[in-house]
This record gives sequence, structure tokens and C-alpha cells, in this order.
Amino acid sequence: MMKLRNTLKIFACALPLLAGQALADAVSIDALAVGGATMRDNQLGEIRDVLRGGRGGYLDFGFNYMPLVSQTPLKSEYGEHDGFAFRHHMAGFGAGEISKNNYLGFLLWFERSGWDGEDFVLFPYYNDFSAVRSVTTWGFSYTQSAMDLTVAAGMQHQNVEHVGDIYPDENDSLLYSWAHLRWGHTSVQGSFHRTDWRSLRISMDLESREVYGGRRSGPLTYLPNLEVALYNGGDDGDDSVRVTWEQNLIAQRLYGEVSFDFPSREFHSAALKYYPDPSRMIGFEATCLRRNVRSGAADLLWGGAIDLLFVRIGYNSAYEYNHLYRAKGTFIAEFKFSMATIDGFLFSRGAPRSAPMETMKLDKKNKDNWPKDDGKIHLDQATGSAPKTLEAKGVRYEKTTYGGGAK
Amino acid sequence: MIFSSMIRSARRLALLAVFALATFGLTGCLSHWFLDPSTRLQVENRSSSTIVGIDVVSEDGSSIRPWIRDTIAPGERSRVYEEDWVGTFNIRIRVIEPASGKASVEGSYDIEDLEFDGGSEFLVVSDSEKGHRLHLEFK
Repeated sequence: MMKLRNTLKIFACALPLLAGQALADAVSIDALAVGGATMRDNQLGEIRDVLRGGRGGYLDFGFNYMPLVSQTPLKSEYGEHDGFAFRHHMAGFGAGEISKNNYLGFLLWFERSGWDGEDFVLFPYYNDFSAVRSVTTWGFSYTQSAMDLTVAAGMQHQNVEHVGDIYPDENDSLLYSWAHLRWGHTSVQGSFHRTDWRSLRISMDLESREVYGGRRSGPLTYLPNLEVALYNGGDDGDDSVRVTWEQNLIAQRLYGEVSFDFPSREFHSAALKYYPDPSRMIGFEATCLRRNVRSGAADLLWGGAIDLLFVRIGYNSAYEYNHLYRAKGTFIAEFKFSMATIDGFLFSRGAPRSAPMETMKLDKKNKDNWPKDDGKIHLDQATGSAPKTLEAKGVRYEKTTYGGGAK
Repeated sequence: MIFSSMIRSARRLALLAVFALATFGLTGCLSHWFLDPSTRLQVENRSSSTIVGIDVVSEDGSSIRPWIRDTIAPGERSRVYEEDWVGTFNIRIRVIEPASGKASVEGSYDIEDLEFDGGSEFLVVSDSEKGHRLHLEFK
């Protein structure tokens, strides 16, 4: 009986995984072709989140894990190629106080992603249909905490390691610059290539966050977080705008997020996210995303994800779709670690409060329980009204030097 | 005493090795051992036609990528041609068929959704019993 129950349990766990990979859709050439721009924008979005405080530190690293070749095959004009979409990322930020209320920081973001015929750790196979790119973003930040002001700027390098000839032509290496200005709850971030602007992100994070010195609860924590992102369509395309509204719904544990695209005036995505603790170390999300395939019900992609501290598992969720070349129809695991800190408090990126283990406050004064007649000085004795005298017992000695007397 | 301590050490080492193996397997290192990212294709021609080439054709038929550019006479085997085609593709086999009383006729056969799993593939091409068709079999 026990054996049968265990077998059923294994079967129940394996069934969705097998079904997930059997129904997996291939990633497209188009999605991989614009992968560099997506990576750059994702990194700048994360930097915006981390620079909300402008000080402290941030550490992140992780990689996607999809062990089966059938999970993320590549769809080309010739058919469906077995292989792996991959994404490796790491990021770090640290700011130190150089004088009172003045902080100087350095940040470095790195991501290597694409599609390859082999699963790998460091060295891809680089076959005729591979696309392997990396984006490195670095910069310096300056924060004046009394004015709640942060200024940051740096460079973004987009490097092509290998791109097969089935993809549109692109430059081997592209250099972008970026700048970020935050004053209070408002920030403006721009990305530039030579003299052209590539993107402009205006954010108003009105929600009061305790981790940055705001409120722990109350009406101010229910103010919305708004973002308007403008993208340069280049010579061939039209400029576009994406407006995102994030809203605390219940006690900074349940959030709703919705975004719309302009000028098409279309719904882009919506998400309902639940964090058991406002530090966001653990999260559950349900998402709905418009895929722009224009085929009725298939246009909307419904999915969800479980985000734990060291692992994230998503199925058709908007985050995986946007970060991994529109991969869908399969379970996507990501092994990762991501943590931000300010003044020794720990929290996940974007969280309004720190982890509970760090927010315990001692409300009792120090008190000792030693007997009063043990000959030692006690805390309550030291604060008494009568003046206290100390008597030291010991050996008095005098230091002598040659040719001289006692000093 | 020494013997039992050695066994204990060996067990610990084995446990460590299994853990290391699982970790490397997880990161994709070991997938190279059982997944081949390229296909080494060899063709044996058991048909009455002469095979003059094997190509991969795009789904709309507008683009062709050659795989084997070799003439394989009836009863012969080709050399091994390694390419990065692993997956499901449309294949075109170009042949010259013998024609009675006339010059040979050049033609081609399209095979849709042919699956290549990677590694060594030995493809045997023979005449189909249904006539004017080729029979393909991976061996």
C-alpha cells in the first residue's frame, strides 16, 4: 500500500513536468535577434530598483536550468532545432560613506544569454544556429542621503560572441552609455548610443517603504508606483511607450501590476503577486501577458511562478517569457541568489521592508541578576543618586631609567 | 580497525563523488556525454536511382542548405558528413533516375519532418514498393 502511494506521488510530480516539456513551444529567431536590447533594458530596470536607496549593497547571481533539449528548441525557417536557451547572470552594487551623508558607489551587472546546441557552464558549442551574447553594465553612483538624491552614470557593453547566419546582421560590439537621477520618490533614467537616445525611463515610486526610511504601514504604503518607459524605434520603427502601474493591495504582501503599450493603446501584461513576508524573499505570482500573435485566446498567455530564495520555478510566467526569449509551454527553473542590504538589514530587490530576523528590536533595558553583595559594581548602583567611588587594589611601581631618578 | 576506518573513508568519498556528480549534472556539464549537438550522416543507396545530393529545405521551399554534395551510385555508401542539423527538418533528396530509351531524368524527393537525434545516423535509401517513391530507414 505504501509502495503504491509513493509510486502515485512520483507519478503525480512527474506528470506535469513531462506534460510541460511535451507541450513546449520553440523559441523564435526574432526573439533571439532582439535579445541584446531586451537584456540591456532588463539590466537598467534592475539598476533602477537597486538605486532606490542609493546606498547599501546588492548581490545577485543565477542561471536557468532546463535539462531537456525539447524544452526550448529553436524554430527557424528550416524546422525545429534541438538545443537550449540559456541565461547566466550576476550583479553587484556597493556604496560606502565617504563623508557624513555622502555615499559613493560602484555597480556591475553582467548577463550572458542566448541559444546553443549544448547545455554548458562556460564554453558553448557554438553551432551554426547558436546565438551567444553578453551585456555588461557598469557605473558609479553618488548619493546625498540628507537630500535623498542619487546620481549615477556608466557604460553598457553589448558583445556578440557568436551569431549564426540565420540571424539578422548585427555589430560585434556595441557601446552604450546610461545615466540615472533619483530625487526622493522620482527617478529618470536614460540610455544612449553615441548621440541617439535609446530608452528613457521615468519612475515615480510613491509607495512608502520602511526599508528606505518610510512608513511601515498606513495610507502612504498604498500609494502607486508608476513607470513610463519610452523606447526609440530607430530609423525603421516607431517609438513606443510602456506604462506600468504597481499597486500594493494588502499590507505590502499582495501586489497588483499592470502595463499598457502606446501608441497601440493595448494591454501588455498583468500580474498578481503575493509575498508571505514584505521582504520578498519568497513570492508567488500569477501573470497574464499579451503575446501579440493575434489569434484569439492564444494571444493571452496565462502563467505563474514560485520564487524562493535560491530557486524560482515558472510556467508561462511573464518574467520568464520576457527574460528567456519568449519561452513558453514548459517549466523553467532558475537557480539563483539575490539579496539587497541597507544598514545591515536584508531584503530582496524591490521589497518595502527588510527580513523579519533583522528587524527585531530590543525594548528591555540591560539588567543584571547578580547578587548585590558580591563586591561588584552593578548597573542600577551606577545610576543611583549617591556619588560612587572606585577603589583599585594593586601594586604600585615606579619606572626607572639609567642616569635618572624616579619619574 | 584500520580496515573499517578505510571503509568509512571510502564511503565518505563515494558520497562526496555522488554529490559532485549530481552538482555537475545539474549545471549541464554531463549532458555532453549523452547529447550530441551535431549529426554525422552517412547514406547507403539501395535504390535504383543515383543520389546526387541531400539538402535541408526551408518550410516555404524558398531556401536550401546543402548537406551532402556527393554522387552516390546505386549500391554505394556515402562518406560521413557532419552538420549541426539536430531536430526536425524537411529534407530533399536529389536523384538521377534511369529512364528506358531516353536520357536519365533528374528529379527530387521531399521528405517532411524528418527527425535527427544527433550523433551518428546511418540512412538507408531504397525504392518504395508503392513505386516512384523512396523508402528511407535509419539503421
